[in-house]
Amino acid sequence: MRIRHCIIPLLLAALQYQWAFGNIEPHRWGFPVNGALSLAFLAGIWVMNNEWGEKEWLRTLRSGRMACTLLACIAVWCVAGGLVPPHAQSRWLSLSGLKEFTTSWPFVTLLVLLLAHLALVTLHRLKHFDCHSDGAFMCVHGGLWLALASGLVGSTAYSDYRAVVNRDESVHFAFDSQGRRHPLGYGLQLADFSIERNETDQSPVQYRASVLVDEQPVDLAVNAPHAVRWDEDLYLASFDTSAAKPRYCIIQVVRQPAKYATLAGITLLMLGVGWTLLGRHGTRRSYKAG
Amino acid sequence: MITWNAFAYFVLPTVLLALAGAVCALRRPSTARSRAALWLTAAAMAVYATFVAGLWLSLERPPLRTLGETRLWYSLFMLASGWWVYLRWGYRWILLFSLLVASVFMAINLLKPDLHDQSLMPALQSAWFVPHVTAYMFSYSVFGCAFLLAIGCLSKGNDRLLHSADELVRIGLFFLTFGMLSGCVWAKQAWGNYWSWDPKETWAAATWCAYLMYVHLRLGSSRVAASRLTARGRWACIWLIAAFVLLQMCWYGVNFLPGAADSMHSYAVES
Repeated sequence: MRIRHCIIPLLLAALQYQWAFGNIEPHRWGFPVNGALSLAFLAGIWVMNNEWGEKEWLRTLRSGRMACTLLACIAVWCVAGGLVPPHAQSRWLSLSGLKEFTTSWPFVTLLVLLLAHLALVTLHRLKHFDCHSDGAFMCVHGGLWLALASGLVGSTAYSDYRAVVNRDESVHFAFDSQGRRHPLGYGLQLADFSIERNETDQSPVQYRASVLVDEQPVDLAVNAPHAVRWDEDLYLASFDTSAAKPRYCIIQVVRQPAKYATLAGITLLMLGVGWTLLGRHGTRRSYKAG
Repeated sequence: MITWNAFAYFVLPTVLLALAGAVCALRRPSTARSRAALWLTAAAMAVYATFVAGLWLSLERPPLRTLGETRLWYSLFMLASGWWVYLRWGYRWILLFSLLVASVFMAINLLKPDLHDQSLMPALQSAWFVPHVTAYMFSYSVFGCAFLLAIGCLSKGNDRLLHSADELVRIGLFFLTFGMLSGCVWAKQAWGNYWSWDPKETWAAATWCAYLMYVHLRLGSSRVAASRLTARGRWACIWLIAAFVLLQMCWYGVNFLPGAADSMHSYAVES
């Protein structure tokens, strides 16, 4: 089986979906749809690996040539999407999926194919796992799979809101980018705000806010968020620039249930890349075998 | 106090010392390393590194904020990468080529000096700042050497240099991956998401995929140097050159695209 016989029909089908339905809206794929699809994907990969592990088409799917083809396609799609001006209004760009390319059907198809490839090579290597020769390979491919999968599936449950928090009263809701109101489940009130300014041009060098979260004081600064729940963080996004003593600040509320899975994937990938560089083994054997 | 005003006084001895080192390397008839070349280039790097360290002290922050400052690191790491490649594989011409590339970036900084205030904007005040940017700059310089080897490979018509390029790409990819992943963790800390497909991130993803593909493309290649460049080797060279072009887009080319104004990385645009 040739790689182009696998990828070209899938990309054409993805383009047809793009023409018919437009870009994917991540929030429509939220729980439980994302959970069901993830389970179906994992079960499919498991069955494919166990039932048809040595078939030619599956060997093609987990081959190094397949990795090259997918990486080249993703790079080309990123370049094409990166060259499109952000505010361009063209029907052709929308139809091809190049406008907001990261949520286009062809790009998501390529990512899913890459996830399938990574899962297949990882499972295949697991059959004859030897820590000394396979450790780096497993960390790189498993880590990348985990980071990509949690990023892709997690994007359906990701939300980013803004709340204007002032000194007078506690606010219990925030707004999304469409202006819709979302309840927070706790109250936010500004207690104190300090700005350190550059002496020459008076530009802010650093700013900090003390915010009351349900009457409990919490310090927030740029690069110093506060975890209000296991899946929810508060960030100091901006502040009242019209007054010398800011009357309010803007708090960014981020809900990201997959954040720890992504972090685990990133850590594993970093470990694997370092291991590969120092050990110089692992990758060559798998693709030859695959 | 070492400031940008003193840059020319450091660049001149750096270039002269490195040039003397490159000439010493070229005068050697074989691949035997010239000790003089190694010492002269090391002295050139020491002079240049003194300027970087002095600027760091006088600015009271790491000089990594603007394109001008990243060019400073790139030219230093370019000299270091060329020196290391010469030490490791003994290519006589690599010192001259790496000096030429480094000199271009020194010349840009000389002709268009970047003078900045002493403060670091709030988003850049993080423990991830120095490892993220220096890892990227180091990988760029290593990929710069790999790019030179790919050109040399195409012009000489044999794939002997390509195996050295493979080694460089593996090292560069390690630093590129570290730079990218440290950036992901930092982005989560600063902006709330690991990856948000900002224009710079889009080009970084394309660059990373391109080099990763090169590594996979070369996995099955023979370690024995062929007398003539094979079709597969030629494709590998062309892909390596294309990946380096993507890297230039990611580094500064993205600033000239219409989306640059919306980029969260816009503090890297020259002021």
